[in-house]
Amino acid sequence: MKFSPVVIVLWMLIATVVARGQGQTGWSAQFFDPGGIEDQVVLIDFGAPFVYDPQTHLATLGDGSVKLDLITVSVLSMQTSSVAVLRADANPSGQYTATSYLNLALKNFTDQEGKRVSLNGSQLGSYLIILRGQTIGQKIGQTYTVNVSVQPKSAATITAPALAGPVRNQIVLDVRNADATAFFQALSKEMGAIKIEYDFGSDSTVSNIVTGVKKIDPPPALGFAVTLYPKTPLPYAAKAYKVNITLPQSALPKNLETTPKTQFKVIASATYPTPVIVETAATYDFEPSFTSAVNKSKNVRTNTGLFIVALNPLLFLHETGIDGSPSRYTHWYDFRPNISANVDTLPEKSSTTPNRVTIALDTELGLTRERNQTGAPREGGPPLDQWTWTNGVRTDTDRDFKKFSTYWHTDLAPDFWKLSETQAFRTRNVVSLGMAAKQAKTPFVTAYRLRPSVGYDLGSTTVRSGVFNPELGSSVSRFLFKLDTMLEIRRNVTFTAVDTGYYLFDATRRDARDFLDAQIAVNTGLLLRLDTNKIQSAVAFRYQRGSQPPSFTPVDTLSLGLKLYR
Amino acid sequence: MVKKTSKTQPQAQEELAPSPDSPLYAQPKSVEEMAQGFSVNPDNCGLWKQQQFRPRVWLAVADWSGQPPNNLRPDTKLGSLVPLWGIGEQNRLVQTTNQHQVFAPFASSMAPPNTLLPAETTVLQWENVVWTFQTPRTPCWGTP
Repeated sequence: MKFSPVVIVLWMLIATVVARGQGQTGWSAQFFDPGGIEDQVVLIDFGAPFVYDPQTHLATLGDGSVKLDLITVSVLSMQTSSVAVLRADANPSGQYTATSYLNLALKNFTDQEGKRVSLNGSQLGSYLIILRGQTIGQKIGQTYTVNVSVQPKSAATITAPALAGPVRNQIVLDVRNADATAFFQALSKEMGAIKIEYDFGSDSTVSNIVTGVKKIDPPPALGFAVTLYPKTPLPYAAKAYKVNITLPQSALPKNLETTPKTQFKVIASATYPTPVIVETAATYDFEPSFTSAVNKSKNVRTNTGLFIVALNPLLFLHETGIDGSPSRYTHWYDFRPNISANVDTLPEKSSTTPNRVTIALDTELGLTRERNQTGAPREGGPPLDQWTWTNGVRTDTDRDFKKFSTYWHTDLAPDFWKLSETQAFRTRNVVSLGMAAKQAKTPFVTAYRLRPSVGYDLGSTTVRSGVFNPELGSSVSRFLFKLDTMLEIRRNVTFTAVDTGYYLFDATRRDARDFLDAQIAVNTGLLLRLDTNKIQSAVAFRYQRGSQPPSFTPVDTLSLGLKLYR
Repeated sequence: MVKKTSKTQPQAQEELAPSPDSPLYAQPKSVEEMAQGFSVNPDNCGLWKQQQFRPRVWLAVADWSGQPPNNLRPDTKLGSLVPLWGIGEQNRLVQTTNQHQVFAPFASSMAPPNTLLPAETTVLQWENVVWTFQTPRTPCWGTP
């Protein structure tokens, strides 16, 4: 193949530009041809919004790192046999405030002689867009490049947009330059021949999953996308994976860009990391510790191992009043089974640690209410109060399962506006567009919680071996007030104190009891560097004092342990 | 432009009053006006999604959080914008998104997600969530 000197010079120009310029990570460009040649648009996304000054035609990227001069934008046509330099008009688009925009629109593509050029006419394939600008802090101007690929207008394409949460049961096929309704009808007839493979990669220990399609939705009226519902929903996986959709050849449009012999494969990427639900948080906690316990009756201190386990998942969460229509109230209900144990290894008679095992079948009924707000909108939005009413059947038992208290438990807990703030909210780093990112804000208190609750327990106690405690009797009727507080310092040190006061209606003496569980935990980071569902570890120093159901024996312990939690 | 749809919500409506620096709010149009001249094809849909749908979603997030729109980034986490992310806040965000008529000129709205999203959900991911839960599906369904 012979190249003319002009082509060689232009190739050298490209090489120079690419060598000096910066192909930008996170930048992307899309070509649109909504009508005639004069409507052709290339939209450039810089990965974040930018600020545009119409006087100077300068665009400052969101992080303030680069200023782009939008007066002159060049487009290089990357053909093997010829290279053409095109000019384009650049204007910001996707405006959402007076000065900020989501993307840059290139229009009116002209050649060196000023003649209008169609990007998907004879010059098909890939184009290199060249923008001139300056990286802040550097004296010399630079060129920045971004690629855009253009498909032939006449050829049909079937693609699948990237898949991501929270919906895991649908895959959309985008059909271009073909009759999507006819494609849907043909595909429906051959539904059994459609194969979907979730491909986790050769380095994954998980086997690929092959499934079929149980339902296909037609395109919406005037639409161009067909929706497939796989028999096996897209699985959660730590890493992004591929979804290979194999379509039968007979269902494909005739003008497909590549004509397959038997089958046609559409590949999409899927990102479904295991979700972490924060609100009404599911808690999982395991804490083995070395404990020093005081036995007041014998006036001795004993060292022992203490094991604390709490499994408190959140199941069957249902929400109401969330149809998107204006409403100040939202309700939800869920089921929260709870197994918690706080046991030691000492003989029963000398044990003075809590030694409580609780099995609970709780349901929660929640209400959120938006307060009336006067004045300008405040940071964090209008105040929102939340009430959680818990009801459930619980069984408390001692470590050796000798005494059982089975009772109905109810409690009401409010979360008022800003009585609690999460770490994410208090450590947010919000910077106005076009400004260099500030150092992440780390206030002294990075999270806190203040959650009071009142409740009542009603039930009875049975004894498998031994005798009833005559002070407590065999019935359970007690009012309780609980104060759950937490203070997190500099992200890493967490002070927690949960105090529960009991008023025992049936006790013959000492009808008011109290139990304090205080802890200082120093976060030691994520457990290993594996995908362990964000299980974290902490060194915990714990103090427990008071008495608690079912036996209400006096407890006075100091523990040092390792806490694994999520 | 936000329409007053509920007499019991005067305060909530005031919170969504047009932002002075937002041209989208300064020149409100009805859905019918916006629909004029819009012909459905994949390229028009792509442009509409980038130039109209996305900015409206961003403005809705800004309104919901009380943050200036310029403070948002694609990687800003929803949980970082409110003191306690939860079902109530997610619902309020859905409401605000629908009040901004993000799918105009189509008469679609966002159905509430059937699950509570993690607090780590970013503004970019929220765009996709809003798009996924469009009801009824717009002709532009499938636009990447």
